[in-house]
Amino acid sequence: MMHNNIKNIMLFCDHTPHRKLLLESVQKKFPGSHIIGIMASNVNLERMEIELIGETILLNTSRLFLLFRDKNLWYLRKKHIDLLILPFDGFRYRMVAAVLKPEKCEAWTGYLQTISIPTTALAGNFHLLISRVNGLMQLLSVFGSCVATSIKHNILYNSTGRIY
Amino acid sequence: MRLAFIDHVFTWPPVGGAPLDLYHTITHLQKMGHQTELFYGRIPGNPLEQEVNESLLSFKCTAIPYYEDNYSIKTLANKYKKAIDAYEPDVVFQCFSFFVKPHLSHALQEYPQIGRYYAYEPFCPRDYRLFKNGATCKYNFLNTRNICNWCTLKSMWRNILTGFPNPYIHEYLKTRAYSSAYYNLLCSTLESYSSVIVNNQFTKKLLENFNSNIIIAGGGVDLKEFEYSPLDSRQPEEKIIVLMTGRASDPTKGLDILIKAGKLLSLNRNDFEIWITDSNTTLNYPWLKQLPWQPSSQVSELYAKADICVFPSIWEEPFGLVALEAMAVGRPVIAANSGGLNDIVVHEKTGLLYDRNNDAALAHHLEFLIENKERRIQMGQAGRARVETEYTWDIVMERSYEKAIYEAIRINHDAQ
Repeated sequence: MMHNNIKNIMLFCDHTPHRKLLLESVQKKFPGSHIIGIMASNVNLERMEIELIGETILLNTSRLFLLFRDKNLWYLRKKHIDLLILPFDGFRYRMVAAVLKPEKCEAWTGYLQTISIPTTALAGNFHLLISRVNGLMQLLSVFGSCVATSIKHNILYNSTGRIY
Repeated sequence: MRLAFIDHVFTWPPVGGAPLDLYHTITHLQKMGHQTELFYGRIPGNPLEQEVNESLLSFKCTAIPYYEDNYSIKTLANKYKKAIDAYEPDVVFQCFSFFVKPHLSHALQEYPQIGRYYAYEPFCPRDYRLFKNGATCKYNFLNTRNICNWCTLKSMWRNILTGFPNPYIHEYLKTRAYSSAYYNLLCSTLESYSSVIVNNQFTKKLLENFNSNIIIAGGGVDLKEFEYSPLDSRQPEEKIIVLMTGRASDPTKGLDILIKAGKLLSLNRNDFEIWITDSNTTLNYPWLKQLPWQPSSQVSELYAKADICVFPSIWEEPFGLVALEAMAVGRPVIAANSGGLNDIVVHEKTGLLYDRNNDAALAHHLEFLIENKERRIQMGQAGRARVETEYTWDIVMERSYEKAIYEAIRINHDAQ
């Protein structure tokens, strides 16, 4: 899809550390697009952020159970969304993407590149599972190295902290 | 001289003090007759990347794209080497970058190199702040690698598990910064620099075992940008304005200490107002005013409106440029005795220092300056004089960078 075809963008504006940067980046990449901000009721937006968002819709994303009971989620489903941007990645957000059925879904998590996310529940969550497995492998590699270093120097980490 | 600067995380307009410091360093060295070029890393295709607007810079820049499908540290180092070789510099400055810095330094070992550290990058792989549980961490990666590795893993594991780590953690994984090989490379890199430029005495002490030529040069102030503004003679009904600039929402900056001091002060008086540059958090106190974050071009006006400036940092503040800016405008500074602030503020002359985390002491100093207009004026004038004689960019450049450059050339010449 070409950038100029993207008119309606939906974006989660929850307690994202990089929310302001995210909004500015969306505005810059898709100038003139209509941004629908989804947020919890306790989120305070700055004036500059409010100016960038065309429409705000309250949605309780704190628990999956509460999210699916929220009437606004089903209201949003009726809207035509060209692009859904997720500031976090995870099962809950992938399920939201599956319900809202946007034309395209991307995670802008601060990773080196944007991550394109399949918009069906099965494909989306399979994609998530694969990335989690990759993450686990990397984690095990770091963990193994830390253990090996500790054993090598005959010092196991403890809370009092022995000097290497 | 032909000088090359490598900064893997440079942004412009600046986000934080490091790019600002580098900008002034390069422009002033250029003014002094050196040829300069900046080589910076960028990630094409990432909409969240803080870009570099080269049209706003007065020096030559070369962007090194570093994310591709076949991206590896070796190919990244080769890209930098190719670009640097084409420029043929006399000296290379290794500026702000995290885990790739030792790799880039190793790839460019044939050139005389000067290491520049802005925060605590070699000491704290967790987040380069050396700050844990509300205080300066007593460990450091160069001495206590095991402990720091576990601490880093504890803080990063959730992000690693997602499979999409943030760029900082991605770099940590990509460079295998948890391995013995990386540790050895880091140590040999620190030893290989002809000199290392750091911001404060604290950092110098941490590095002394690795390099004998460590120069303290925090930074400077542009006197045209921060013009002296005499303290206003306020009307009796007007409130004294206490200002805290910088990233007040950053937990290391000690906003809670200032709030506690404000509460203590408000028990006895209501003739003051505290202004902070943080509009992210909601704080409701009648004596507190929250301002949006100010770009560096507008912050000078803000200092001019204030009567007293406060910097209550609770970490080992690397430099404390904001204190220097406030002094340049002629404001007395109350600061915590942390890191670079210790070097900048002369106690009872240009301002007042107190033991960090001590809100009662801060309240006491605030009360003293609120009540003593004469001392405010004297300290403000002394602060300005100190900046004029010690901290203009020209002075900083001559005192430290010129020396470092010629030392690098001399050492390289002797080695040949």
